[in-house]
Amino acid sequence: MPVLSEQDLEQLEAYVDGELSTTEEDALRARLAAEPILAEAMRRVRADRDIRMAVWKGYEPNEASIARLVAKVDTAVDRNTHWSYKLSTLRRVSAAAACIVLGVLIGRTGSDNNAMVPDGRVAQVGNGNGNPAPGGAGGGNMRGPTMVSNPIEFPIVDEQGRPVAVQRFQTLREAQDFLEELNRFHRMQEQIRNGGGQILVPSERF
Amino acid sequence: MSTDEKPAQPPLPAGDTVALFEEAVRANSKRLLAIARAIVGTRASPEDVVQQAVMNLFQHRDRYDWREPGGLLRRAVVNEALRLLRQPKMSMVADDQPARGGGEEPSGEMDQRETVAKVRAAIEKLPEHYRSALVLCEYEQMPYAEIAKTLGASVPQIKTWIHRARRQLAVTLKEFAQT
Repeated sequence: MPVLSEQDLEQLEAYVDGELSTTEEDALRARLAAEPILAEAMRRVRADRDIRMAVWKGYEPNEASIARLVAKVDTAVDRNTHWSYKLSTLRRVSAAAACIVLGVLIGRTGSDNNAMVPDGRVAQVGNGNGNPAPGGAGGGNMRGPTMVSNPIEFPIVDEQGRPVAVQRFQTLREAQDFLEELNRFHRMQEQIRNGGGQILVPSERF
Repeated sequence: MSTDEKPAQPPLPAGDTVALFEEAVRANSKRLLAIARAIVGTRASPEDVVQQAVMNLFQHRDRYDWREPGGLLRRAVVNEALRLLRQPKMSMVADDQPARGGGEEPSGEMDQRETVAKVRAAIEKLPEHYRSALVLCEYEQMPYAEIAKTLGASVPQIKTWIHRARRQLAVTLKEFAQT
Protein backbone atom coordinates (compact mmCIF):
# COMPACT_ATOMS: atom_id res chain seq x y z
CA MET A 1 0.00 0.00 0.00
CA PRO A 2 1.57 3.23 -1.05
CA VAL A 3 2.47 5.55 1.80
CA LEU A 4 2.30 9.24 1.41
CA SER A 5 5.56 11.08 1.74
CA GLU A 6 6.15 13.90 4.18
CA GLN A 7 6.43 16.16 1.18
CA ASP A 8 2.93 15.18 0.07
CA LEU A 9 1.56 15.82 3.55
CA GLU A 10 3.28 19.20 3.68
CA GLN A 11 1.82 20.10 0.34
CA LEU A 12 -1.66 19.13 1.48
CA GLU A 13 -1.27 21.28 4.58
CA ALA A 14 0.10 24.19 2.55
CA TYR A 15 -2.90 23.87 0.25
CA VAL A 16 -5.31 24.05 3.19
CA ASP A 17 -3.32 27.01 4.57
CA GLY A 18 -3.65 28.82 1.23
CA GLU A 19 0.10 28.94 0.70
CA LEU A 20 0.32 27.27 -2.71
CA SER A 21 0.63 29.17 -5.94
CA THR A 22 -2.10 28.85 -8.56
CA THR A 23 0.01 26.46 -10.58
CA GLU A 24 0.76 24.29 -7.54
CA GLU A 25 -2.92 24.26 -6.58
CA ASP A 26 -3.96 23.14 -10.06
CA ALA A 27 -1.39 20.37 -10.00
CA LEU A 28 -2.50 19.18 -6.57
CA ARG A 29 -6.16 19.17 -7.53
CA ALA A 30 -5.32 17.01 -10.49
CA ARG A 31 -3.52 14.55 -8.21
CA LEU A 32 -6.39 14.55 -5.69
CA ALA A 33 -8.76 13.60 -8.46
CA ALA A 34 -6.47 10.83 -9.63
CA GLU A 35 -5.09 9.43 -6.36
CA PRO A 36 -7.62 8.16 -3.81
CA ILE A 37 -4.99 7.76 -1.11
CA LEU A 38 -4.01 11.38 -1.50
CA ALA A 39 -7.68 12.35 -1.36
CA GLU A 40 -8.14 10.32 1.85
CA ALA A 41 -5.11 12.02 3.37
CA MET A 42 -6.60 15.39 2.46
CA ARG A 43 -9.81 14.42 4.22
CA ARG A 44 -7.86 13.56 7.39
CA VAL A 45 -5.88 16.79 7.18
CA ARG A 46 -9.10 18.81 7.02
CA ALA A 47 -10.74 16.78 9.81
CA ASP A 48 -7.74 17.28 12.11
CA ARG A 49 -7.77 20.95 11.32
CA ASP A 50 -11.48 21.19 12.21
CA ILE A 51 -10.77 19.63 15.60
CA ARG A 52 -7.95 22.03 16.23
CA MET A 53 -10.20 24.92 15.22
CA ALA A 54 -12.64 23.80 17.91
CA VAL A 55 -9.74 23.95 20.37
CA TRP A 56 -8.80 27.47 19.27
CA LYS A 57 -12.39 28.58 19.57
CA GLY A 58 -12.47 27.03 23.02
CA TYR A 59 -9.69 29.40 24.02
CA GLU A 60 -11.87 32.39 23.32
CA PRO A 61 -12.85 34.12 26.55
CA ASN A 62 -16.32 34.66 27.93
CA GLU A 63 -17.80 38.12 28.17
CA ALA A 64 -16.83 38.47 31.81
CA SER A 65 -13.13 37.99 30.98
CA ILE A 66 -13.33 40.51 28.15
CA ALA A 67 -15.05 43.07 30.38
CA ARG A 68 -12.46 42.49 33.12
CA LEU A 69 -9.58 43.03 30.72
CA VAL A 70 -11.10 46.17 29.22
CA ALA A 71 -11.73 47.59 32.70
CA LYS A 72 -8.15 46.87 33.78
CA VAL A 73 -6.73 48.51 30.67
CA ASP A 74 -9.00 51.55 31.04
CA THR A 75 -7.90 51.96 34.66
CA ALA A 76 -4.24 51.63 33.73
CA VAL A 77 -4.64 54.16 30.91
CA ASP A 78 -6.40 56.63 33.20
CA ARG A 79 -3.67 56.24 35.83
CA ASN A 80 -0.95 56.64 33.24
CA THR A 81 -2.44 59.78 31.67
CA HIS A 82 -3.17 61.26 35.12
CA TRP A 83 0.46 60.82 36.23
CA SER A 84 1.77 61.97 32.86
CA TYR A 85 -0.18 65.21 33.30
CA LYS A 86 1.06 65.66 36.88
CA LEU A 87 4.66 64.99 35.91
CA SER A 88 4.35 67.34 32.98
CA THR A 89 3.07 70.09 35.28
CA LEU A 90 5.82 69.38 37.80
CA ARG A 91 8.44 69.59 35.07
CA ARG A 92 7.11 72.95 33.93
CA VAL A 93 7.08 74.34 37.47
CA SER A 94 10.55 72.97 38.21
CA ALA A 95 11.92 74.45 35.01
CA ALA A 96 10.43 77.84 35.84
CA ALA A 97 11.81 77.72 39.38
CA ALA A 98 15.24 76.73 38.08
CA CYS A 99 15.21 79.65 35.66
CA ILE A 100 14.29 82.06 38.42
CA VAL A 101 17.04 80.79 40.73
CA LEU A 102 19.55 80.90 37.91
CA GLY A 103 18.51 84.43 37.04
CA VAL A 104 18.94 85.57 40.64
CA LEU A 105 22.37 83.97 40.89
CA ILE A 106 23.49 85.52 37.62
CA GLY A 107 22.12 88.87 38.73
CA ARG A 108 23.96 88.75 42.08
CA THR A 109 27.20 87.65 40.46
CA GLY A 110 26.87 90.35 37.82
CA SER A 111 26.27 93.13 40.35
CA ASP A 112 29.31 92.04 42.36
CA ASN A 113 31.43 92.16 39.21
CA ASN A 114 30.35 95.67 38.27
CA ALA A 115 33.11 97.36 40.37
CA MET A 116 36.46 97.65 38.65
CA VAL A 117 38.67 94.86 39.74
CA PRO A 118 41.96 96.32 40.96
CA ASP A 119 45.05 95.09 39.25
CA GLY A 120 47.25 92.69 41.04
CA ARG A 121 49.85 95.18 42.15
CA VAL A 122 51.15 94.90 45.64
CA ALA A 123 50.01 97.69 47.95
CA GLN A 124 52.61 98.60 50.48
CA VAL A 125 51.48 100.20 53.65
CA GLY A 126 53.90 102.31 55.51
CA ASN A 127 53.92 103.52 59.08
CA GLY A 128 54.46 107.16 58.30
CA ASN A 129 58.26 106.94 58.68
CA GLY A 130 58.96 105.88 55.17
CA ASN A 131 59.56 102.34 56.30
CA PRO A 132 57.11 99.65 55.64
CA ALA A 133 55.61 98.32 58.84
CA PRO A 134 55.45 94.60 59.27
CA GLY A 135 52.15 92.79 59.67
CA GLY A 136 48.91 93.95 61.22
CA ALA A 137 46.09 95.96 59.87
CA GLY A 138 47.46 99.02 58.16
CA GLY A 139 50.97 97.48 57.94
CA GLY A 140 52.77 95.07 55.65
CA ASN A 141 51.93 94.55 52.00
CA MET A 142 48.55 93.83 50.49
CA ARG A 143 48.35 91.98 47.22
CA GLY A 144 45.53 92.45 44.78
CA PRO A 145 42.14 91.09 45.69
CA THR A 146 41.34 87.44 45.32
CA MET A 147 37.88 87.23 43.84
CA VAL A 148 36.93 83.87 45.21
CA SER A 149 33.56 84.61 46.69
CA ASN A 150 31.74 87.16 48.77
CA PRO A 151 33.36 88.65 50.89
CA ILE A 152 36.40 89.82 48.92
CA GLU A 153 39.66 88.90 50.58
CA PHE A 154 42.96 90.79 50.47
CA PRO A 155 45.88 88.80 51.83
CA ILE A 156 48.31 91.01 53.72
CA VAL A 157 51.89 89.81 53.28
CA ASP A 158 55.18 90.80 54.89
CA GLU A 159 58.45 91.72 53.15
CA GLN A 160 59.09 88.07 52.40
CA GLY A 161 55.69 87.63 50.82
CA ARG A 162 54.30 85.58 53.63
CA PRO A 163 50.63 86.21 54.39
CA VAL A 164 50.26 87.72 57.83
CA ALA A 165 46.58 88.70 57.75
CA VAL A 166 43.55 88.90 55.56
CA GLN A 167 41.54 92.03 54.97
CA ARG A 168 37.96 91.28 54.04
CA PHE A 169 35.47 93.49 52.23
CA GLN A 170 31.83 92.81 51.48
CA THR A 171 31.97 94.20 47.97
CA LEU A 172 34.53 94.87 45.31
CA ARG A 173 33.70 98.58 45.57
CA GLU A 174 34.79 98.64 49.22
CA ALA A 175 37.99 96.80 48.37
CA GLN A 176 38.72 99.12 45.51
CA ASP A 177 38.11 102.22 47.64
CA PHE A 178 40.41 100.87 50.30
CA LEU A 179 43.14 100.10 47.77
CA GLU A 180 42.86 103.51 46.19
CA GLU A 181 43.16 105.14 49.57
CA LEU A 182 46.09 102.93 50.41
CA ASN A 183 47.82 103.83 47.17
CA ARG A 184 47.12 107.50 47.78
CA PHE A 185 48.70 107.11 51.17
CA HIS A 186 51.72 105.45 49.59
CA ARG A 187 52.09 108.28 47.12
CA MET A 188 51.86 110.81 49.90
CA GLN A 189 54.43 108.84 51.85
CA GLU A 190 56.72 108.87 48.83
CA GLN A 191 56.27 112.58 48.40
CA ILE A 192 57.15 113.13 52.02
CA ARG A 193 60.16 110.87 51.70
CA ASN A 194 61.37 112.72 48.74
CA GLY A 195 60.22 116.20 49.54
CA GLY A 196 59.96 116.22 53.25
CA GLY A 197 56.90 117.18 55.28
CA GLN A 198 54.33 115.13 57.18
CA ILE A 199 50.92 113.78 56.64
CA LEU A 200 48.23 113.30 59.12
CA VAL A 201 46.30 110.08 58.65
CA PRO A 202 42.81 110.16 60.15
CA SER A 203 42.75 107.49 62.79
CA GLU A 204 39.27 106.33 61.85
CA ARG A 205 40.54 105.21 58.45
CA PHE A 206 42.61 102.42 59.96
CA MET B 1 10.09 52.04 11.08
CA SER B 2 7.88 48.93 11.25
CA THR B 3 4.82 48.51 9.06
CA ASP B 4 2.57 49.29 12.01
CA GLU B 5 4.25 52.61 12.74
CA LYS B 6 2.65 55.66 11.29
CA PRO B 7 3.65 56.88 7.85
CA ALA B 8 3.80 60.63 7.37
CA GLN B 9 0.39 61.74 8.58
CA PRO B 10 -0.72 64.68 10.61
CA PRO B 11 -0.54 63.71 14.28
CA LEU B 12 -3.74 63.10 16.13
CA PRO B 13 -4.57 65.11 19.23
CA ALA B 14 -3.48 63.28 22.35
CA GLY B 15 -7.05 62.63 23.42
CA ASP B 16 -7.91 61.02 20.08
CA THR B 17 -4.96 58.67 20.33
CA VAL B 18 -6.03 57.47 23.75
CA ALA B 19 -9.62 57.00 22.60
CA LEU B 20 -8.52 55.08 19.51
CA PHE B 21 -6.20 52.95 21.59
CA GLU B 22 -8.98 52.02 24.01
CA GLU B 23 -11.32 51.25 21.15
CA ALA B 24 -8.70 49.04 19.47
CA VAL B 25 -8.26 47.08 22.69
CA ARG B 26 -12.00 46.65 23.12
CA ALA B 27 -12.49 45.50 19.53
CA ASN B 28 -9.62 42.99 19.58
CA SER B 29 -9.63 41.74 23.16
CA LYS B 30 -11.50 38.51 22.39
CA ARG B 31 -9.00 37.21 19.86
CA LEU B 32 -6.03 38.61 21.78
CA LEU B 33 -7.09 36.72 24.88
CA ALA B 34 -7.55 33.56 22.82
CA ILE B 35 -4.06 33.89 21.33
CA ALA B 36 -2.54 34.53 24.74
CA ARG B 37 -4.38 31.56 26.19
CA ALA B 38 -3.26 29.30 23.35
CA ILE B 39 0.38 30.25 23.80
CA VAL B 40 0.77 30.42 27.57
CA GLY B 41 -1.74 27.71 28.43
CA THR B 42 -2.18 27.55 32.17
CA ARG B 43 1.30 28.87 32.90
CA ALA B 44 0.16 32.47 33.06
CA SER B 45 -3.00 34.49 33.08
CA PRO B 46 -4.05 35.45 29.53
CA GLU B 47 -5.55 38.69 30.91
CA ASP B 48 -2.23 39.65 32.48
CA VAL B 49 -0.42 38.84 29.24
CA VAL B 50 -2.73 40.97 27.12
CA GLN B 51 -2.86 43.81 29.64
CA GLN B 52 0.93 43.99 29.87
CA ALA B 53 1.30 43.80 26.10
CA VAL B 54 -1.17 46.59 25.34
CA MET B 55 0.14 48.83 28.10
CA ASN B 56 3.66 48.42 26.71
CA LEU B 57 2.28 49.73 23.43
CA PHE B 58 0.44 52.50 25.23
CA GLN B 59 3.72 53.86 26.56
CA HIS B 60 4.70 54.59 22.95
CA ARG B 61 1.22 55.11 21.58
CA ASP B 62 2.15 58.15 19.49
CA ARG B 63 4.32 55.99 17.23
CA TYR B 64 1.44 53.90 15.94
CA ASP B 65 -1.65 54.45 13.87
CA TRP B 66 -4.48 53.27 16.11
CA ARG B 67 -7.02 53.65 13.37
CA GLU B 68 -5.55 50.48 11.86
CA PRO B 69 -3.95 48.52 14.69
CA GLY B 70 -3.86 45.43 12.50
CA GLY B 71 -1.16 43.04 13.54
CA LEU B 72 0.35 45.43 16.05
CA LEU B 73 -1.69 44.22 19.00
CA ARG B 74 -1.36 40.61 17.96
CA ARG B 75 2.41 40.84 17.65
CA ALA B 76 2.67 42.54 21.03
CA VAL B 77 0.60 39.84 22.71
CA VAL B 78 2.58 37.03 21.08
CA ASN B 79 5.88 38.58 22.12
CA GLU B 80 4.69 39.16 25.66
CA ALA B 81 3.35 35.61 25.92
CA LEU B 82 6.64 34.14 24.70
CA ARG B 83 8.60 36.41 27.02
CA LEU B 84 6.59 35.20 29.98
CA LEU B 85 7.10 31.57 29.02
CA ARG B 86 10.84 32.11 29.00
CA GLN B 87 10.91 33.38 32.56
CA PRO B 88 12.56 30.89 34.86
CA LYS B 89 9.81 30.69 37.44
CA MET B 90 6.17 30.48 36.57
CA SER B 91 3.24 29.33 38.60
CA MET B 92 0.29 27.56 37.14
CA VAL B 93 -2.95 29.48 36.97
CA ALA B 94 -6.45 28.08 37.02
CA ASP B 95 -8.21 27.60 33.73
CA ASP B 96 -10.79 30.33 33.86
CA GLN B 97 -12.85 29.04 30.95
CA PRO B 98 -16.16 27.72 32.29
CA ALA B 99 -17.17 24.23 31.34
CA ARG B 100 -19.76 24.25 28.62
CA GLY B 101 -23.00 22.41 29.00
CA GLY B 102 -24.06 20.81 32.19
CA GLY B 103 -26.77 18.40 31.42
CA GLU B 104 -27.24 15.40 29.21
CA GLU B 105 -25.45 15.64 25.92
CA PRO B 106 -25.68 13.48 22.86
CA SER B 107 -22.88 10.94 22.85
CA GLY B 108 -21.45 12.36 19.62
CA GLU B 109 -20.98 15.75 21.17
CA MET B 110 -19.44 14.21 24.26
CA ASP B 111 -16.99 12.32 22.11
CA GLN B 112 -16.06 15.49 20.31
CA ARG B 113 -15.64 17.32 23.59
CA GLU B 114 -13.35 14.59 24.81
CA THR B 115 -11.39 14.71 21.57
CA VAL B 116 -11.12 18.47 21.81
CA ALA B 117 -9.95 18.17 25.42
CA LYS B 118 -7.31 15.62 24.42
CA VAL B 119 -6.07 17.77 21.58
CA ARG B 120 -6.02 20.78 23.85
CA ALA B 121 -3.84 18.91 26.32
CA ALA B 122 -1.58 17.82 23.46
CA ILE B 123 -1.32 21.39 22.15
CA GLU B 124 -0.19 22.57 25.56
CA LYS B 125 2.63 20.05 25.46
CA LEU B 126 3.96 21.32 22.15
CA PRO B 127 7.11 23.45 22.21
CA GLU B 128 6.14 27.11 22.55
CA HIS B 129 7.33 28.10 19.07
CA TYR B 130 5.38 25.22 17.47
CA ARG B 131 2.31 26.23 19.38
CA SER B 132 2.68 29.92 18.55
CA ALA B 133 3.16 29.25 14.84
CA LEU B 134 0.20 26.88 14.74
CA VAL B 135 -2.26 29.20 16.50
CA LEU B 136 -1.25 32.14 14.30
CA CYS B 137 -1.65 30.00 11.18
CA GLU B 138 -4.97 28.33 12.00
CA TYR B 139 -6.75 30.67 14.42
CA GLU B 140 -5.51 33.98 13.07
CA GLN B 141 -5.21 32.62 9.51
CA MET B 142 -2.01 34.50 8.94
CA PRO B 143 0.20 33.76 5.96
CA TYR B 144 3.52 32.05 6.66
CA ALA B 145 5.49 35.19 5.82
CA GLU B 146 3.62 37.24 8.39
CA ILE B 147 3.97 34.53 11.02
CA ALA B 148 7.69 34.48 10.32
CA LYS B 149 7.86 38.23 10.84
CA THR B 150 5.85 38.04 14.06
CA LEU B 151 7.97 35.26 15.53
CA GLY B 152 11.27 36.49 14.18
CA ALA B 153 11.91 33.34 12.15
CA SER B 154 12.31 32.44 8.49
CA VAL B 155 9.46 31.15 6.34
CA PRO B 156 11.03 27.66 5.98
CA GLN B 157 11.35 27.50 9.76
CA ILE B 158 7.71 28.43 10.18
CA LYS B 159 6.64 25.79 7.68
CA THR B 160 8.69 23.19 9.54
CA TRP B 161 7.31 24.19 12.95
CA ILE B 162 3.72 24.09 11.74
CA HIS B 163 4.20 20.77 10.00
CA ARG B 164 5.88 19.15 13.01
CA ALA B 165 3.25 20.51 15.36
CA ARG B 166 0.53 18.97 13.25
CA ARG B 167 2.36 15.65 13.04
CA GLN B 168 2.69 15.47 16.79
CA LEU B 169 -0.98 16.27 17.26
CA ALA B 170 -1.98 13.75 14.59
CA VAL B 171 -0.06 11.07 16.45
CA THR B 172 -1.84 12.03 19.65
CA LEU B 173 -5.23 11.92 17.97
CA LYS B 174 -4.44 8.56 16.40
CA GLU B 175 -3.47 7.12 19.78
CA PHE B 176 -6.65 8.48 21.27
CA ALA B 177 -8.75 6.99 18.48
CA GLN B 178 -7.17 3.59 19.07
CA THR B 179 -7.92 3.55 22.82
